[in-house]
Amino acid sequence: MNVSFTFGLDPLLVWIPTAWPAALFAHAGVAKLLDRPLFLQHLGAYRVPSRWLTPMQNALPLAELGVAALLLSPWRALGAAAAALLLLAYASAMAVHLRAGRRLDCGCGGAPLPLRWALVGRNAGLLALTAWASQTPVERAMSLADHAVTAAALLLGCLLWVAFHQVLRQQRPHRQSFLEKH
Amino acid sequence: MISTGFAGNFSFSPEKNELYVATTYLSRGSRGERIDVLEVHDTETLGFKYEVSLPPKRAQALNYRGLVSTTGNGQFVLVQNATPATSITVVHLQTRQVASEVPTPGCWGTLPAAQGARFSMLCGDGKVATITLNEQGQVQDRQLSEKMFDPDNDAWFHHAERLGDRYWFVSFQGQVSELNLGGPVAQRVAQTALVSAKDKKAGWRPGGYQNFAVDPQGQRLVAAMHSQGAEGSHKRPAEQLWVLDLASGKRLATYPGMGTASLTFSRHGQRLQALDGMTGAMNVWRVDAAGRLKHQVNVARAGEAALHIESHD
Repeated sequence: MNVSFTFGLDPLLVWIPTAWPAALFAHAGVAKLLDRPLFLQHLGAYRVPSRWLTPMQNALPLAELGVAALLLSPWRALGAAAAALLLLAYASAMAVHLRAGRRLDCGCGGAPLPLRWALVGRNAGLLALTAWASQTPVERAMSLADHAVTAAALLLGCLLWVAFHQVLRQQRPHRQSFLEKH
Repeated sequence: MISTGFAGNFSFSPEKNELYVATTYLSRGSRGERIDVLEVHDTETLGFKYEVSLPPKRAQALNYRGLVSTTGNGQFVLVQNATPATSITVVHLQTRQVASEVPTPGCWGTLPAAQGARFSMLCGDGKVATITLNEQGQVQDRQLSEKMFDPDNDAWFHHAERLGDRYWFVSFQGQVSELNLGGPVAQRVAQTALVSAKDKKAGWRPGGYQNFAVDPQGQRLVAAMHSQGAEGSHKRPAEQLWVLDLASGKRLATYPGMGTASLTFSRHGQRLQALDGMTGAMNVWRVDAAGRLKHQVNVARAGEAALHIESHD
């Protein structure tokens, strides 16, 4: 078997970290558009100022869909940068509320899930993924098997994503002592 | 007497023949596995009828009407959850099962419409969310109103008084607002001031838990008031009871407050009943045709830290 070492990334190592956030943002954008009042409620819960509520209700789902489309376009690196910006913004919003001791519903889709640091960590992990997605892979033709691996990885990613949130939902909320909080 | 477990909250069926208590039990009394249930009792015999298991996330909070309520059609019981993310567990009474969990970020307390399976909630941004359920208890429609109040400068008490779809709210500084919660989106109907500019100077504010009541004709509002109020005094028991004519916005009379923290009219409107937040006593006034109050009965130690009062007749 002829094993060659190169300094570039294999296309799979770019395509899989691209497919995950693309699927994530496409789903997030569609979910927000399908239940606009719920999204507005989430924005309110995150204490978005009144005058920004409607613009953000309209702009964010479109931005998410745009990011998903860009990730799958020839301007993948731009999509990855935009995805990183959104992830950073969401993580910051969650961190601000967590620091202030507010455990609102995170708005992660599905059944309610109170904010916790694990979700900020999740976004940090996704940020790392977008760094991979922005890379240019080495020249190698994607075979049918490669596409199958990407599809399977996407499926696995979805499962892990759902499982991660489900585990968080099942966890008993940790009761902080007064000393820990102050 | 009915046991309400730990920090149980309750509501009635529209016919008032059933009492629904949402409560919590821990397997070791004060610790251990948590089990939340909705217990159904017969209001005539006070006997236990059946229970429905709830997800263990209901709000274990001091009693307020909105924490458990029954939809206008009597089909669903709505239980407020707080994990502390807020949501509503919808219990289907016919199937005796949980029908759904409605995410309600930033909003609190259920205010059912008179008809159908619709309820509204006050939200932290000053809006009112209205959620309409379908036959299966799933969300069919969700709408947010315009901003109804300023949560930072003059928040509304969570307690609301209700006649059908007419709901009254009182703000911390004494603005009375009437909303119609019958439609798919909440509408403001009227607004009056409970506190005049002069009284405001003396710091008169409403305070307590179930801290005001509207008579069954929707003519008068009785509020538990205290003077020298300030930010944080909103649960102070009453120094005086103020009677407000809702149509004219005029104050008709004031009465000694008797430490009132919660009050309600009897269903025929001829009695006003109140819980004394200082001593746990219950006070009863006779209400005459002109709305004048005459103190009748004082029941000493009617409850230990009782805060929610409903009238059986």
